[in-house]
Amino acid sequence: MTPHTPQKLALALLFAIGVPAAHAATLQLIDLDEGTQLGLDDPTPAQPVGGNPGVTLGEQRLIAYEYALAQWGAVLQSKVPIKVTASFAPLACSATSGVLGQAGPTDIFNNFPGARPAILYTGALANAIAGRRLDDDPLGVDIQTRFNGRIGSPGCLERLGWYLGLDGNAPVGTSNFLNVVMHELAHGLGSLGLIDRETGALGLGRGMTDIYTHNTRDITTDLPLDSPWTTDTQRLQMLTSPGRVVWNGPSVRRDASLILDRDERGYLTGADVRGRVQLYTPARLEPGSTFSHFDTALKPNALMEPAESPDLQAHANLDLTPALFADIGWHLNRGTAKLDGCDTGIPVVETGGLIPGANLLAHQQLCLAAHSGDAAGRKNCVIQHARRLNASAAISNAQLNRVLACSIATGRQQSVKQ
Amino acid sequence: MVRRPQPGAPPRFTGPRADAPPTAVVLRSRRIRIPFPNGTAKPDRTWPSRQLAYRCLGSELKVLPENPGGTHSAEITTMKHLHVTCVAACLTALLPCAVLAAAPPPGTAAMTITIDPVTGERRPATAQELAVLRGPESETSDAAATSSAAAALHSAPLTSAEAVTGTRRLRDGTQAMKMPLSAMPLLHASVDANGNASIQHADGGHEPRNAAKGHTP
Repeated sequence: MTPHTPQKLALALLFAIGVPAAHAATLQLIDLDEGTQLGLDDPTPAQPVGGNPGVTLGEQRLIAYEYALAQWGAVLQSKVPIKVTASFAPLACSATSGVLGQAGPTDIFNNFPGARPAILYTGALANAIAGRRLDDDPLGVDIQTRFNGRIGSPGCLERLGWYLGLDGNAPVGTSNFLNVVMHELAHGLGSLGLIDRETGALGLGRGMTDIYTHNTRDITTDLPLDSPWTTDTQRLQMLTSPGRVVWNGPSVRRDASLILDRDERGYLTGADVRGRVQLYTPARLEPGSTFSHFDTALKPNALMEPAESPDLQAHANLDLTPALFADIGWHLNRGTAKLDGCDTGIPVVETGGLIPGANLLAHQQLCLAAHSGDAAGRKNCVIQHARRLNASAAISNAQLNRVLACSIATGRQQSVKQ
Repeated sequence: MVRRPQPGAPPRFTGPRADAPPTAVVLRSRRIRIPFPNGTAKPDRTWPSRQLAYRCLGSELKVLPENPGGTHSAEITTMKHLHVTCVAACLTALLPCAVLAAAPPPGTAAMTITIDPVTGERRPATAQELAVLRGPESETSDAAATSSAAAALHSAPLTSAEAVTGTRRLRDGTQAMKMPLSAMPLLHASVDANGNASIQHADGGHEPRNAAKGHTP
């Protein structure tokens, strides 16, 4: 029998309930480590770190995972629960290099209600557009994620540890797990091009394009990559020409103008002269990276670049990624975060990719889990987090005051109920 | 650098302060057993057997979320190729388990779950059980382990060609295909002699190259 803390169970339950925003997506964790004493179930004692209150390694990993799921769930709209498998099992590794993780969608759909004709969509997005689960497999999974549980152990990248805090303060030499999970989940949610990297064929050889590729353009010919006048060979050539392929969607274009630095000529860094953000197309094809990421030329760094950067703070800022999702068909929660129905006035996701409201809601779920049955503790937990957001300028004084007012109002309601 | 959008001159966001106090919440470390139906720690002998029998039939393990009177929500492990040691459950349910208990095909499942024949509970497999279950193919290299673990994630085709071949039409006319493992991004990390780490995407068959930036000194 696998031992569990009641808090861990409560955490799973409460996160599973989802973030209480209108039409917020619910990302359900399917823990493949359950009962293994490894990975997400690792009982090794750990000190709470960076806002992550877990007291075992497994709990901390689980909490960070759930936090990432809750944040994406708050940002995106879907009536269909998104099932995500998660595991921290050992993967290939040596002292100097190793696989950190793997993630992606499990299914690809086309020709469903709400879909654009002859365009492929990844599973979670397709379900969201259709408003129902398309696959008739009741055990179906939408996104699979897997991370290397051996990192930091003898013989496996001992000098590289995961930072499991939720505050973005990863010490030098550690990898911010929350950043990585947010990045990998984004691939699973549809930030992924389906051009066959070996043949250049559209739709992995299906002969039809996908919604990600449909938003891209070759700046040399000014044709979409899925243009009928582009051959597979030409497409491969585009994918191995740095700076040649750009994202053409209007939302990313708008947000890029707000986010990216400008060079001495006044052009956006990492974008073409028309302000379209470059995709990562290095001269030598990198099948796991090419095309499905923004270019490394972007300044500042973006969450969906192929390399993890220490300056990323996915607990607070998803930069261009929400806009990319909007371009491929996701509906974003443009409303404000509500605590038990009380409007805080804090945007869930802002133009430009900041997610103060989504972060607050994710943390509220954590507070609910950590203080189940303790209303005062929950309230204090949320308030303290709001104060930290305010101290970091993520929310204004007025918004902090709204959180305080909501907390008081919620407390009164609970008193009346009792 | 993480910044707010420029228009409107909103306050610059530099992330939480380094000296921000740690969160006040602390989880208690008391551990409990997973309660079976009716909230008891003692398994209901009938319920687990019936459910496990169902799971074995599907070559899948799934502790169903329906749990009348229970307190836990859902403990789910489900993959087409997940290899389940379900001998105990199948014996009680009189199911033909020989096929199901056979070793997974090479390059697929590497995850094993054992059901204790006495208690009906999940527990780690013993070395002897693993040896019987997996046979000589369990002696895999790290790379092979990664490959097999990846394949175990779901019933994914290995290549795009296989994925396209497996395209199916659902009842409502929707067409569905599985994402091939060859198109599944891997995240790779490396540390050089100076201790500089880089983390980037790669796939299993290609060595990643250092990106222009993104190194963590």
